Amino acid sequence: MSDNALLEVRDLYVQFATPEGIVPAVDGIDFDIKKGRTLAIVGESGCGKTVTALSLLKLLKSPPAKITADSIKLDGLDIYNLSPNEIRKIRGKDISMIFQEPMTSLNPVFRISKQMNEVYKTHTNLNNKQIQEACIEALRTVGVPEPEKKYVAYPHELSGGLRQRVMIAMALSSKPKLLIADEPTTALDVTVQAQILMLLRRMCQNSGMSVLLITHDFGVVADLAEDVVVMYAGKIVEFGPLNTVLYSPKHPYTKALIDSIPGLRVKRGGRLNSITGMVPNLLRLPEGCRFAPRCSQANEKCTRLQPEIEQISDQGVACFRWRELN
Amino acid sequence: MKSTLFEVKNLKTYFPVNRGFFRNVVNYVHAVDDISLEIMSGETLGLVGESGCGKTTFGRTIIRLVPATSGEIIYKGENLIKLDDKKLRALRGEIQIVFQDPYSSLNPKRTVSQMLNEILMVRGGINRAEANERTSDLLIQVGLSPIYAARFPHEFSGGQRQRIAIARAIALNPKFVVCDEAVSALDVSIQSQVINLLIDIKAKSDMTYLFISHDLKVVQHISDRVAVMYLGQIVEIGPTDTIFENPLHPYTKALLSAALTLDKDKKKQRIILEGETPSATIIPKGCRFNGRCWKATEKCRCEVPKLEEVSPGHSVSCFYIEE
Repeated sequence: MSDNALLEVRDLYVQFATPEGIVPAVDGIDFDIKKGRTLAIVGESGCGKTVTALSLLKLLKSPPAKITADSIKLDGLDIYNLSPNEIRKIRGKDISMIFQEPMTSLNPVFRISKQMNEVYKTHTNLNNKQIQEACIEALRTVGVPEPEKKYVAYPHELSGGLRQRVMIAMALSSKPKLLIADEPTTALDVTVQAQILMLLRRMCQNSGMSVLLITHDFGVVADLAEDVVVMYAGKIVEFGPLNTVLYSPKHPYTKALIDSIPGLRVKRGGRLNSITGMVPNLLRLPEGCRFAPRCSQANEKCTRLQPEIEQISDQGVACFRWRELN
Repeated sequence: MKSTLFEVKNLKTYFPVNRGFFRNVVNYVHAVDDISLEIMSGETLGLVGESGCGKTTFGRTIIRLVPATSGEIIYKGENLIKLDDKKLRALRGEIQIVFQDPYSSLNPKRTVSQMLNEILMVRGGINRAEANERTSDLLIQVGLSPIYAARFPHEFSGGQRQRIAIARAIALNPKFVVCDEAVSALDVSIQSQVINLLIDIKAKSDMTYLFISHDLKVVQHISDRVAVMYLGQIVEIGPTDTIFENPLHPYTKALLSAALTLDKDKKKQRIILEGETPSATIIPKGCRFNGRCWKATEKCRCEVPKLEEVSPGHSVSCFYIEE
């Protein structure tokens, strides 16, 4: 689409074969991440946001997962058609990832040192002494107190916030072009979350890397992201720059989702505007627009046909009625 | 003037730490350390704090799911801590709890009607036909269809399960319900449904809630008063608007500023605290917050501040309160 896109994803599908049938977890999505910018994918659990992130690095077990796409390009290089060996060289080097659970994403039986060294050994030619120095320096950069001591600690000796810092240090060690952050602060307390978000923002500014942020929390989005993609039941329903999506959402789902957050528009103690019903079962998707059964504005056309994404300048909306509703 | 429903005095809950071959007690986790507060009849008291600050233990202690180490819990003129099992059981119907995780708080081997009927028949003292009827009513009240009564928990989504847990809690028309992170495990759109349900139930039956949550937005929305906990103690308590608009304790200030906001106008300078909550086994000397506080002085490191009223209904435990 544009020249300054770092990652271009076109027509991405991820399907899971289950005994009950094929689950279309991600159903034909397109998005771009611009160089040096942070794109957030927001949605409720089960909407396909994590699967999207994992499919980029082919981190899904296949079978049951089946990933198909027109193309996935990183900086012009087609990473969709790479062999397993070639994609391994991309992982942790050009694209690295931090996961939601800092408790479980580090191996509990190895010291931090061993786990960090491995990243450097795979992607650099440094000798052991240099690696150790680089690791301790990396820990210091992400604000780990007493990095020399923590470097030889086991994961259980560190708190959740520190473990997430270690994960960030490891992810950033190879100076990736793209960092995928999957719910990086969900498991953390608010005060620690504030620390980690500040750290991530500082690291992005310093290194100029792009970030794909996966989250369900609009608060985190408002804090970190510059562009936003809203997903619902495997499809993108709306995308655009943060300020347009957050403060003048066009799609009924985005509006309802933002309205259901307490403390924004509703008086304290009053009833919140909630969305009735729940996310559809991906095995039994509604025929028309996937949000239609829960949408207060749906009409007959919405229940029959699937809306395509319509783009107006830099914002896109997948809704038949957005013009008349706004 | 509202009457006091619960009066908690100097409540302490310690958990022993056992080490070594003989499992000797080497230390204690000071989960709840000298808390005194009153819960008014018909109010929603929000309890906020970071993980490990003891808010769940507090909620469980005051309904005697966890034995208290010392202190008093006065409910209807009786000290719950001293109550024998028989009398306590008679009170169980009046004080209930909704747990955080709707996946593990319902028995997977029992249907909804089995669960609810048992409570109604054993504790409510009604026969099966009446219990079935009441179960249907309860399900309708929490926004589920009565046909769900024959289903097992695994057939429901997280939001529906939490509704069942709420139905179970309100089955015996309790006076007091502890909501322990009752909406934290739910998606935003489902969370708002359950919050609305809790608000509706309260409006209908004059319930009193102790609403425990780490989510400040939710607590602000639902509570009449808010108590802020740090490391087993209450550092600030007051009316919701006062706490959120004019917090006085440095920890409350930091906690509120760390909360993410979508409101453009309210985006402000964030106070980023250093470090993390200390362990509840090794309590810092002096004010418990001194190690992370940017205002801490020598006095804070030596003396323990007391929770003192600064304006009607608003108490803070800090030496350096500025307006």
